[in-house]
Order: sequence, then structure tokens, then C-alpha cells
Amino acid sequence: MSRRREPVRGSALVVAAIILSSAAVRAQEEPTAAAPAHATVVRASGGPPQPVSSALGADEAERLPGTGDDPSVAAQDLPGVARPAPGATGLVLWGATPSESRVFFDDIQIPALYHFGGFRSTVGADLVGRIDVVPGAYGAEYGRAAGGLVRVDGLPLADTGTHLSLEASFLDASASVATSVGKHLRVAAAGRASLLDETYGRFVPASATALFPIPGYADAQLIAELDVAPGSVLRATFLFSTDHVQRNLGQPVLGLPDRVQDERARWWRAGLAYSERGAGDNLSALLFVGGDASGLTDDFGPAPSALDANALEVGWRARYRARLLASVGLAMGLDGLVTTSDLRRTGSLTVPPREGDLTVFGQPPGDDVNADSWAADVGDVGAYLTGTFTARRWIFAPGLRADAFPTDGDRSLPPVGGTPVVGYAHLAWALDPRLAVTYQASPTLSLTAAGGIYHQPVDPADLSAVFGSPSLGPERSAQAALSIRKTVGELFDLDGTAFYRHLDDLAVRSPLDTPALAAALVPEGHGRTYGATVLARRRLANGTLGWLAYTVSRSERWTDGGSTRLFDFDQTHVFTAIASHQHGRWIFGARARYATGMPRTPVVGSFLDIRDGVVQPIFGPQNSARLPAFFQLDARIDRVLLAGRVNARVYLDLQNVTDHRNPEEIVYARDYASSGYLTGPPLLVLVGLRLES
Amino acid sequence: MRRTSRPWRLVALLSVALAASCSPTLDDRPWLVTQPQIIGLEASSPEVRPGTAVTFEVVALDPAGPVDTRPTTWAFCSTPKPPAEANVVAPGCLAPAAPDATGSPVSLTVPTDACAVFGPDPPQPAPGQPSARPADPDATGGYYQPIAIALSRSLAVGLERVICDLPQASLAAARAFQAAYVANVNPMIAGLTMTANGAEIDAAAVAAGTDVQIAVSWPAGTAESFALFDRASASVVEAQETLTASWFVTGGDLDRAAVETSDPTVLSAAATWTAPGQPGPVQLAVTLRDSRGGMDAMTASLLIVAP
Repeated sequence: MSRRREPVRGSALVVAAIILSSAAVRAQEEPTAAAPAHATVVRASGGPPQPVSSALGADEAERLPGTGDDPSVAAQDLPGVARPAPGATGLVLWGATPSESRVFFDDIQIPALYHFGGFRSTVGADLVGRIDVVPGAYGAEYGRAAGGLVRVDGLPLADTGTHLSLEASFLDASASVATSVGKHLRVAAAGRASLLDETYGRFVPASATALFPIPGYADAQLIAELDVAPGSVLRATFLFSTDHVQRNLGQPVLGLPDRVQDERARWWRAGLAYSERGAGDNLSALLFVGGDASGLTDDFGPAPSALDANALEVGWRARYRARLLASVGLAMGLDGLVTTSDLRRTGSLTVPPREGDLTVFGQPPGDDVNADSWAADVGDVGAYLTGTFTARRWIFAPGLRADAFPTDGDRSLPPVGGTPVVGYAHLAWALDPRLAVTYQASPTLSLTAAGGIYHQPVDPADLSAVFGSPSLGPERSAQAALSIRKTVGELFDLDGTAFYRHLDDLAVRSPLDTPALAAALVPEGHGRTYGATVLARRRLANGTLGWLAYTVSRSERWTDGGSTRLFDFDQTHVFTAIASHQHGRWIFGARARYATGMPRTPVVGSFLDIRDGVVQPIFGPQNSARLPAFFQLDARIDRVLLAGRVNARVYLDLQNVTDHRNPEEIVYARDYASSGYLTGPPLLVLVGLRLES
Repeated sequence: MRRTSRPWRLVALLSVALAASCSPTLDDRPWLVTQPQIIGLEASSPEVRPGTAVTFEVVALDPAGPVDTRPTTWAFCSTPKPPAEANVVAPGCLAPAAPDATGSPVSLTVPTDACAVFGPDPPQPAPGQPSARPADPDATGGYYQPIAIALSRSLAVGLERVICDLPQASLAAARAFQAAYVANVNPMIAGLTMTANGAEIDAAAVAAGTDVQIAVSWPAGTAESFALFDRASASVVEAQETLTASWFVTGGDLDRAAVETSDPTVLSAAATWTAPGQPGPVQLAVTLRDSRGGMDAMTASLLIVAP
């Protein structure tokens, strides 16, 4: 396997350099002579560079504290990324919900970056080459996201014989194999399965699992690369992920009867990609298919709720890049995804919850019930054209993307007796201009401005005539960023980015007491986020690397005619300091994180619901209070036991070494007369062993 | 005896540490009444058609003794509950402009538009406007007219079940439902017994600190079966009421706040009450609710004496 760990030889242990790149590099189609050398150290099969992004090579990321040897987890420490809520399976990028951003593995769109629990990626660790977080203002090559992008690049496979790896920790066990078949075919496979049920799950009482339920998960990846011509590669990818988690929000925490929430998710993707590499004209194409199955069951006594969804996807991406002149490059491409979904839902309209819902942790959903089953096809057929024009110190990278969003479904109105079912079909168009302009003020200083218009197709789960609205269309955002990057000496980089995002046409709950028929959701949501990020990093040298990342931002949401409130995941300040140092066979790492607590709506009173015999909360202004700030210090020690033909490494990942009790949720007594905080783990010890050949 | 290996012991230790710190310790005694408090509502008919007069009587408890319910105010809610509201009423219902009645018991006529405002029959839209979304029923298929009730600083919402048309059903299903459905009647408490060590106690002389079994019983048939239109299958099915017995006291400790059963053969429920350590009066109330909004209640005054 090409990402085989090298024997310890001082600073050579980590081959690939950390990439925390910014605008100056990204304004160009491919790294050129003008690009800093560090941008090309990691050879990965990723998509085109983006004006604003932060990338990590997997070899560094997995050794950082808090990752548990999973490189994708380190994406949480990059600038522009909010600290995830406990258990979150996605990232909040520049104030966008995880569902407003898109995750790709080798340009194959996948449903979620993380398994349930949020501490393991769905794409494993062994076949990951690089993680690239694009919080916004991305180029015309991508669409379908009103927020940002997370791009996980698969590992380029090397023909260096056969390699095996085994790893086990308290979290899970994994294995991978990579080999060459002949001169032109390389194959790698990896798999991972959780052990949490057998480790922590055997001993943690139910009272601790309301906030941190013990998830079960597994994932597998298969990649095969075939050299079809010099510089041309055919790459087949298969991804599989499955999750299951059950939590009890009843007796253990709140003294209520068992109230079990059961959640399941399973998906697969199979893709075939062709790519030509080289500085001249080249072509890349990708076709993938996939299937998603997910389920959510809330057994809350008299009003159980359930949502089951099954979907099939077909996606494609093709790109032809031509260099017309030394200073002019053009690229054109196609990018599409069609999803056909079958969904069934019963129970309360409030399950699953949405951003902006007024509720407190552990509160039962509304006891009103309904039911619907529906089918929906949602597509995005996009085409784009981008250019790169270099004029002295200026680089202009305009782009234009056109998208058609066809949507059809089998039911435009709620079912009524034997009334014939009437379907619907509608088509929305979007023309999204994008632009990135870079000014290279000096060899060490560059400024970049980037932005554009973005559209995101409707979620099929929102197209229910009972629980949502079949008339919903794509959501829209406008984004802009201004970056400055300064290289200081050989080792240090400074980045600063100011950003703004405006969101429109968001699908939100109807603000009406009595919504129109088939309009429980309406496209009347709006949002805005503005802020800045600062990044100071030390590039890898002499076994040492690290960075300081700070994000200050404010995110707000509102509906037509409504008042502005804070976004549910708003965090004013997010600060991360992280460092890793190698000394002989030892690697030491530390991470410190600080984040403003997320907004919460205060409970200012209560009343008795006599019919059900429960006390219900009276809320104050929405999101007008916050959880206390989060602070955590983590440490990690790696020890190389064997180095040579067989490598062995043991690591100790200590999270929250200062035993700081971070409030993660507010929990109320049943009469709402008193409250307290559910806190995160005091100290989490993760021990792992990795063997490689 | 099975020994736990060292790695497992380490995991267990860490897990216990994890558990110990996650949950707050709250004073979570919803059965303890420390000030005048509404705990229930008895309606002469728990399910009526709109426009029907119903006599309502509040059930309240006061640590100081018998409750003066004359200041109780009643206000019918007229604001529909938004579909995504997790509470049982819209926030505006909790602060009515003026009460519809004062005192207890009171006779009130259920508004004639209850099925339009809170049920499946939204008013006809204005020309050119889309139809309104019917309200969703609860899990028993019921629609309810909310009533805001206030007594002293205690605020409560009663829900009077109203008989409305069956929405989203075929004609055959609607006919089958109408033929099978029987309006709810209140459950009835048959008896309330208090025993200690197997012997019945004297409510006027309960020894301080005594563990008392408080049992409530009801006659067979209290948990009714009823016809329910199941929206997922679009058919009429037979459902069973759930009964919930709840205990309230003004002193001492209870081992549970409520017992819930959907087994029609279960005809009693009990909780263990530990009498206060200090002599003095204690008020006790037991409520029995069914899942279609019916209720019965029984109260008792106890006197704690030195053992």
C-alpha cells in the first residue's frame, strides 16, 4: 500500500506535508511553477483545487491527537469548521448545517462523513490520502451545496508489492491489504468494524448513553487502478458503510419511562473513473451508482414515530481541460446526480427535528400523528465552464455553471380515501456565476477574492405532501471570501480569510398556525453568516508540525416576516491549537480547543398538560441563551515498536486530559423547576495497536 | 467465579468514570406538591360534539389543606396549534386575554368551531387561496379543544376531546368507523387503599417515616377498546386504551410518579409512599387517566403522627 508507514528516520517519518492552502494556490487549475511546493507533496486523486480550502495529508492527520488514527476526524480542527455537536455525522462549515454541505470520496458524493457518534469516518482510514475542507466560495466544478464541500481523496495505489495492515483499539478493529497484479493493475481493500459494544458498551450504564449512545458501525472500501495508457488510469471504487445506534432518553436521565430512539443508516457506492494526468490537455470522467437505506424510530409511548427511506443514485462527472496558451486555460465539464427515493413516515411532524425547532433535550415530540408514503425523483443535471487567465501578477478564474433540477413525485396532495393519486413534476433552472481573482503581490504574499451563486436541490424527504411540501425547489446561496496569505521563511504560513454567505429559499417549517395543504414546509427560510478565520501554521520539518486556527463568526436565520435569530449551531469563537513532534521512536502530540457554547432557548415557565399528565415548557426568545464555552486539551503518544519489514506502532490517545466537564446539553427536571448540564466525557482513553507489512 | 481480565477492568473503570460525570443530579419529584397546584380535570363528558355543554371541575392540591378553587379561571383556546409545535397548545393559548369563566365547577359550552380550529375540518379558503392543512389527530385518533386553566400560580391546559368527521378516509372506512366508534367515558376509581406491613392504616394517624402502600383500583372494562382509523394502512382497526395512575403528595417520598398499563386485565396499581419524618398534615391525590382524555381523581387528607 502506498501509504505504508515508513521506518522511523527522523523527520522522514512523515513523508507528506500538511497542506493548509489558500487562495493563491487554488486560483489555478493545477499546481504550477508559481504554486508553493508544499501544495503538491501529497499525490492524491482529488478534484480540481478550490479558491478557499484547507487540506490535510492523511499521514499527518491520523497521528494528531483526538483522531484515534482516523485522518478524516482531523477535519474538525481546520479553520471555518465549527466544533461538532456530540454525535454529529457532518461538519458545520461557515455556518451551514451539515445537510447544506456535500461530502465526496474521489468525487463520488456520499451521504455522511462520519459514522454515528462522530468519531469515525464512513470511508475508513487506510485508503484515505487527503482530506480537503472547502468551507465555501468554491468553483463551478461543483454544485448541489448551498454550504461547503468536504473532499476526501482516496489513496493513489502504488506498485510496491503486497502490504497488509491490522489495527485494533477500544473503538474498532480494521484491516487492509494492497497488492499489484502484473505491471498495470493495483488493488487495495480495507474494512473496519466497531468494537464499542464489546468494550465501553459492556460497562457504561444507560444513564451515560442518552447523550453519548454506543453506536455500532462498519465500513469497507475497495479500490482498483488500471493503467490503460501512459498517464491514463481507470479507477474503480466501491464503498460501503453501515450504522446503527439506539439511545434511551427515558428513565436513565429524566426519570421517565423508556423512550427508545433507534437509528439506522446503510449506504454503498460503486464508481468507475477515468483520468488523464499531465500538464497539457486532459480528460477525466466518473460514473457512479449507489444506494442508501436509512431508518429512524422513536418509540415515545403513545405517539411513536418512524421514518424509513430507500434511495438509488446515479451520478456522473466529466471534465475536459485544455491549455490554450501559456497564460490561458479552459475547462468544461458535466456534473450530475439523480436520486430516486421511496419513503415512509409515520408519527409526529416534529420527528425528525429540523434546524430552528423549539425544543429542549429529552422533550418528547408532539403527540399529533400522521402517516405518508411517497416516492420522489430529484435530479441535478449540471454543466460548467471555467477559465484561468494569468496576466502578470493577476490570475483570473471565472466560471459559469448551469443546472437543471428536475423533480417529480407520486403524490401532490395528502392521501384522501380512494381519491385518485395525482403526481407532480417540475423543473427548476439555475445559472450560477463563480469567480476567483488572485493577486500575487510578491513571491510570499498573495490575495484572493472568490465567490459566486450556489444552488442545492431539494431533499426528497421534504417532498411529502403530509410532512413537507412537493412544491419545494432548490435552495440558493451567495458566497464571497477574501483571503490573504503570507509565507514567512521556510516553515511558516499565515492565512486570513473573511467570508460572507447569504442563504435563501431554505425549506423551513411553515410559520402559519394552519399551513396550506401540502405545505407544512415552505421555501421561506433565510440565513446569513459572516466572519473571519486566521491560520498560522508551521510546516512539517524536523519531525514537528502544528497550527493555530481561529474562527470568529456569526450565523443567523429567519423566515419571511419573522424575526432574526441565531443559527442553532452558531459558535462565535472557535480556537484550535495543535502540534505534533517526533523524537526518535516516539511521537508526541497535543491539541487544545476552545469554542463558544451553542445557542439554546431558555425555558421561562411551564404548564401542566392535564390529558397526558406531563409538564411542558414555556420558552423564552429563541436561541437567546448559550451553553457554557467548551474547552478541551488532548494528548497523544505514539511509540514505534518495530521498524523494518514489519512495522508495529502503539498509540495512546488521551482526550480531555484536564478532566474538564464540558456542558453539552441542558437537561430539565420533569417539572422544569430545576435544570443541569449533561457533560461530555471527563477523560477518554484510547489505546490502539497497528501492524503493517 | 468468573474473573474479569485486566484490559476489561480498565475499560470498565473508564466507562464508569464516563458514566458518573455525564448526568446531572436533579430534584426530579414531579409528584411532590409544594404550593397550590392543579393536578387534574374532571369533565362530565370527556368526549362531546362541538356546541355541547360540559361541566368541568378542577382537581388541585395544596400543602396548606383543602384547596379554594373559586379563583380558578377558564379560557377556551382559539389559536390553532402549529403542526410543528411540540407542546399540546400554541404558546398564545397560555396567556388568554380574558377568561371565559371563573370558579369550579363550571359549565362551559365547547365552541362550535372546535373541529375547524383544532380538527380535520379547516374553514373553506378564500377564493384563489389554497386549502388549509387539517390538524393531525393524536395517537388515539382524537382532536381536542384546549382550555387554559389557572389557579393561583399554577397553569394547566385541559383538553376536551371533540367528535369530528374522519378525514382522509374512504367512504367505506368512514362508515365502518362511525358504526364502530363509541365516545369515550371517564375511567372510574373503584377504591383507594393504604396499607403498611399488610395492614390497612388509619389516615388520621400515620406514623412518621412509615412505608405505606397506596393502591388504586378500577373496575373491569375501564380500559376500553375503541375503533381507530389507522392512517398508515388507511383502515379502521381496534385499539386499546392505556390507563395511567398517578400519585401526588404534599410531603414524604414516593417511589414512583405514575404507573401506565395497556393491559385491560390489570385492575390496580400501587406506589410506595414513605411518610414524612415530621408530624403534620399531608394531602394525597390519585388520578386515573385514559389515553383518550378521560380522568377520575380521588383525594385524601392524612395526618402524620410521631411513631
